Amino acid sequence: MHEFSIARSICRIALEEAERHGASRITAVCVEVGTMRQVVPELLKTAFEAAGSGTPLEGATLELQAAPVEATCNQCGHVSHCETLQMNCERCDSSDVQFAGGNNLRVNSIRVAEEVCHEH
Amino acid sequence: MNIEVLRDVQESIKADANDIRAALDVQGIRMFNLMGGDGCGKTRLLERLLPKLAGDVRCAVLEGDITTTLDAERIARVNVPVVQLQTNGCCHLEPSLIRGGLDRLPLNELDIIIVENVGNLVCPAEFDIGEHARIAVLSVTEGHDKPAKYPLLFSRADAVIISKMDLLEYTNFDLEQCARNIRLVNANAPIFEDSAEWKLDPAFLKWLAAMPASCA
Ligand SMILES: Nc1nc2c(ncn2[C@@H]2O[C@H](COP(=O)(O)OP(=O)(O)OP(=O)(O)O)[C@@H](O)[C@H]2O)c(=O)[nH]1
Ligand SMILES: [Mg+2]
Ligand SMILES: [Zn+2]
Repeated sequence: MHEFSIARSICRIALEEAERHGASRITAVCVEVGTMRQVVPELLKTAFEAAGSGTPLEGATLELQAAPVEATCNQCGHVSHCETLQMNCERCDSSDVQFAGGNNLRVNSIRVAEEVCHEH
Repeated sequence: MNIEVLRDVQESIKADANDIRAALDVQGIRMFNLMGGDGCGKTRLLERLLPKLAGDVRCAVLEGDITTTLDAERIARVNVPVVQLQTNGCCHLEPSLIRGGLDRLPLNELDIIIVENVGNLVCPAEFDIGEHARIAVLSVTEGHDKPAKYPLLFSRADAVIISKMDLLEYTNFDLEQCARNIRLVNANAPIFEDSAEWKLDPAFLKWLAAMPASCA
């Protein structure tokens, strides 16, 4: 359900950036989503469509890129990057693992249809 | 044409939250964000905690709920200023709602504000509301696997309370496994055990009191 709030924020940022670059239509928005964030992709896409309809985002696709979480083994020190929380170290199989990062929620880029006509 | 953006999706919510925190710092008020699943015992904890603090610390409560004023009525009965924030269907609190609640509290007469977030293990954890510290509550009837299944809430918690300990014997809740699951995502937060039938853990009261106002 919080996907609607997140979708509105994504749309606001994308529209601001498009306007700043003099673009009147956005075809895609690329968003990085950390593994720790509990965002349901399907819900976010539906919310994004709803929030963008009737704006230059109408018909734009939302591209989600997963940002991995870092798992450090407290026993052997091995560090791995995973896109789900794996409970055991991939090297020594210890369950004494510490997760960090994977908290990103960031608009990385947008694709726009037109050429830039003027820069501010 | 591709345009690089690199902007935090929640930049405006974070800015609002930082403004709230800064305003509270000026007033010397610490705000706690109390989060946990529905029915885990958040309001019951406040009903026991607030009378305990009365006299030493001046408290107020912001009660977040999807609808109804039931929880605020419970808090009002222990004679603490309370504002019910109704999200009208929304699953979490955001800074804009908090600001409206703060406007209705006597801020220059307060030391602590506790915000009871909407009962939900998922959504509230995603939003900074301008708090100085987050408290996660997990009841033994919910299961020891929850910190691993809902990592964000527990990874961002500054303290974790395991509640309804009086029911432990009726469940298969494994305290050690639970602590391990919390430590997977949170190396430092203290873990307190609690039950409505017990006295409040003095270590928890000490933790609450030790949290200085500017330690966001
Ligand atoms: N046995 C037992 N029951 C408890 C305890 N704490 C709370 N309860 C009961 O659990 C139920 C839910 O408690 P609340 O305090 O309303 O829970 P909450 O987290 O505020 O619920 P929401 O605000 O609806 O999310 C109530 O019936 C409480 O009396 C406890 O320590 N032991
Ligand atoms: Mg409650
Ligand atoms: Zn290892």
